[in-house]
Parts: sequence; structure tokens; C-alpha cells
Amino acid sequence: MGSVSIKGTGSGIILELDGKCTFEELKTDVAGKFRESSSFLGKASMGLMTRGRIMSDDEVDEIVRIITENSKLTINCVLTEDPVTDQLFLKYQSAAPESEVYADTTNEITESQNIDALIDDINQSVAEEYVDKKFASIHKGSLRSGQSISEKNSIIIMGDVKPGATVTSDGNIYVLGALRGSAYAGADGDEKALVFALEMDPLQIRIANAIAISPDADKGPKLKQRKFRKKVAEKEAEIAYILNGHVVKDVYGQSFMRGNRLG
Amino acid sequence: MGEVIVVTSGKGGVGKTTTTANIGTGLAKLNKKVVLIDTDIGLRNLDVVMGLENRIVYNLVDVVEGSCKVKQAMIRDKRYETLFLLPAAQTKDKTSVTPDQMKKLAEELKQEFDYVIMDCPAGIEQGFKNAIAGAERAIVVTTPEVSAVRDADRIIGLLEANEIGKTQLVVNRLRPEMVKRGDMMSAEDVIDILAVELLGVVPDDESIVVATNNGEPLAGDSSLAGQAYMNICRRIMGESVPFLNLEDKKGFFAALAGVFRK
Repeated sequence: MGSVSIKGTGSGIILELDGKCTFEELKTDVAGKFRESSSFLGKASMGLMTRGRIMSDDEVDEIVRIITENSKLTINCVLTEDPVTDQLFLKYQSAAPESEVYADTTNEITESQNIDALIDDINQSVAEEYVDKKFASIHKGSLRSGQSISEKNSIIIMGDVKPGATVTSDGNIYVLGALRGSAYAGADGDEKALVFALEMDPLQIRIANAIAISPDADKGPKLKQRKFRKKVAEKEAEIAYILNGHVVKDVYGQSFMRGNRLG
Repeated sequence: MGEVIVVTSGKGGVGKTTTTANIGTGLAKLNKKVVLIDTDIGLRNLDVVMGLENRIVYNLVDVVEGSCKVKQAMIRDKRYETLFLLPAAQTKDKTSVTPDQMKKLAEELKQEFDYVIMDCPAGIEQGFKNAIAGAERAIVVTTPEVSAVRDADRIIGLLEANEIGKTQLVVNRLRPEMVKRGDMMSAEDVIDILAVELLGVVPDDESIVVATNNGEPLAGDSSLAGQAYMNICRRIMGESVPFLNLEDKKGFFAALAGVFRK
């Protein structure tokens, strides 16, 4: 009987479990404890929180089944205290101190919506470690008209972006080919985002809230093409970024790198 | 209160988009307030023909979904202050818009514009249904070929079934010298088959190709096709402009030869 103790809170019960004994022992103890206190606990529906032992989903289901069999209680939600998740949550909280709404939820979970929010927060903090503008997704192959890619990461395209295709990223966009369609970098408002292309001939570039359209607009696509043919010999990699609120493009070479715009 | 016109054909490649762009340009040149709507979602072209492709930020799907205002999505033409384009989305498909939504949009736009012109996609499926939903008047484009005329006949039947008030025909890419030799149907032959009112005849003209590639519709310039489109615009506005009939075709032919000599 020593492996289980029950604590009541305002809206549920906390089950303190022994982390070392076998699950069979635990089951017998839980059954005994609840049978014993069934009349005291009465008929109610409430939440259950387990503490002190990490259990699989099946084990938790088993515990809930035993409780409902041995008492008049209905368990409508289960929360398992898990030190690893706890620490992640605390870490996330200290990183964002203004979100103190859920400050007490580790000790006393009172409403199921708080639990959902808590889980969302934890997932988010875990996910954030994998989504970072410093990392890039790589797309192999060209993007044709009507195709589009949208990522939170930076994007590297090994191919061309054709007119009518769109690339959107919260970070930077690197086109290892010709950029002839539209590129939207820093989509979350990051003005430090860049667009790089081996051949820069876009219809439109957007960085954060600034938009630039191709300067050849008034001459139309055909003339643009002719001009391009003449220029083939002298084409160079170019990079677009924000300078004084406007999108500007620059040859990607020594002078650009000396300007230290890569931050 | 403006008028909603759909430009359609059934068959692809007969010149719906070119006709839409030129009619829009021509009407704007005649000081009418015009908005062109590209309903060919997923295969948009009108923006390219108008030379406005690089200005697209929002599109038709954004408007009907309510993610932007109509005003934000409309692009003002480079040359004419009173001409606007509402471009199609390229990354979506025809099912992103419903006929009811198009009808609502057309109602809204015709409060402000003299002409709302819908560029219809080829085919008779969802895209066609969207394009004709709000239309009060239709312009059917055909070329003097049996296949195009057959499809135009089908389309005219569908337009009648959908109670589109007035249907008029544009015969596009006519080659007078071939008609003269008897190798091509004349505009009259086409009208005999289709039994609808003729709105205009546009000759096959190299300058159309150049204008399309440059993104500057040629309505109203000195080319034959440009004049033909201008006449069509005047007829749309209700003016009575004489047709290029058989007798005119001699002068027409000579003029065409003159164009080639340039």
C-alpha cells in the first residue's frame, strides 16, 4: 500500500506514485487505496494528475480503468507530471517572462484549456529549436510557373525560379540559378533578410514590407529577353537587400562583402 | 452603373486574352473607366499581355477570400489612367472561386466602372461558369476555322441557356487574301453558321504578335488590327461604325500589303 498516496485539490486528485516498484504492485495498491476511500471520495467527475513515476499511455489507461472500477469516480482528464517536459516548459517561460498566464499550472492544473495551452507552449518551444532562419531548406530543381515554396527557414533553390513561380521565406533566399519569378524574403518582417541569385532578373522582390518590381517593366517581356541575350557574357551573381527602407540590388563581389551587410 | 461583359470562345488559342486586352485598352482610350478581370486561375496570361505581370501583389482569389480589398488587388495600367486589371492567381485552380462569388464581385465593380470585362478561360467547366456568372453581355471570339466555329456554336448555346442577354461575335485572325482565294471562311460565312450579331472582324496581323510580346495592346494605333479593335470598342459603346465588308477588302488587302512592305 505504501507505493501510492492520494492528495485532493480543488478540482481533482493528485496521485503520488512510487517510481521504483513494479507496475503489478502499483496496480494492486491503487485498487486497494481507491476501494478503501471510495465512500470518502463519493461520486464525482474530476481530473487526475500522476506524479513521481513516468508511465506509458497504456499504463495510464490501466490506472484510470482501475480507479473507475474501484470507486464511483469518473476521470475526465489525466495529466502526467514529467520532469523533462517540465524543464522545457520552465526554460520556455524564463525566455518569455511576459507569458505568466500559465505560471501556476505546473502545480495545480485547474482547467483543461490550460492543459491544452501548456502542451501547445511546450510543443512550440521544442519546434522553435528546429525552425531557425540560420538553417535553410534545400529545394533541388527548378520552380515553374504556378509552383511555390513557402518556408520559415531560409531557402536554397538549386535551379531556376521561372516567371509566375513564387518563393517565400521568413529568412533568406538563395537561388543557385536564375531568379525570374518572385521572391519574398523576411516574410515575418525581418528587414535583414537577403535574396541572392546567380542571375538576378526577377519580376518582383519583396523583403519584409518593401516591394521592388523589375526596372524593365515598361519595355515588356520581349525586349527584356533581347537585352538579356546581349548581356549573357557579363552576367554576375547579385544580391538584394534593404537599404534605407528600399530594396536595392548589388553585385555579389568584393565591394559588397567589404560593406559588411551580411551582419 | 456599368456593364459586365464576358469574353469567351470555348476553344483555346483563338485570341480571347488578346481581344480582352485590346478592348480594355480601346475603351480606356475612349475615356471609359474599365476593369479587366482575368478568370483563368492557374494559367493567367492577361497580366503578361498587358505588361503588368511584375506589379501583381494580390489577386482575384485573395479578393474573393477576403484577404485583401478589391482596390488593393487592382493594378492600374501603365499607359491609361482609367484602365485597371484584376489578375488571376497562378498557384490556385478554378475551384478556388465560385460563380456566386464572381457575381457578387461583378455587382460591386460595376457600381464604379463603366465596363467590367471578364477574360474567360478555354473550356466549358468551372472556369467558364465563374466567368459568365455575373455577365450581362458576351463577346464570343472565334477564328474562321471549322473547329473554332464548332466550339463557338456550343458556347453560344450555353450562353443562351444561362440567359446572358446579348451575345456578339468577333471573328479574329481573318486573312482576306485567303478568303478571296476561297481557302478560308469569310466573316459572313461564320455569321451564317452561328446566327449571331457580328461585333467586328480583326485581320491576322503581325503587329499583334509584337504588341503582345511587348505587353502593350495595340488598340487605336495605326495598324489594321489596332483600327479593327477600336471599331469594336465604338460598337460596344453603341456607336454605329461601318463594317469592313467585301468591297472594303480590296483596300484592306492593299493596306495589309503596305504593312508587310514596312
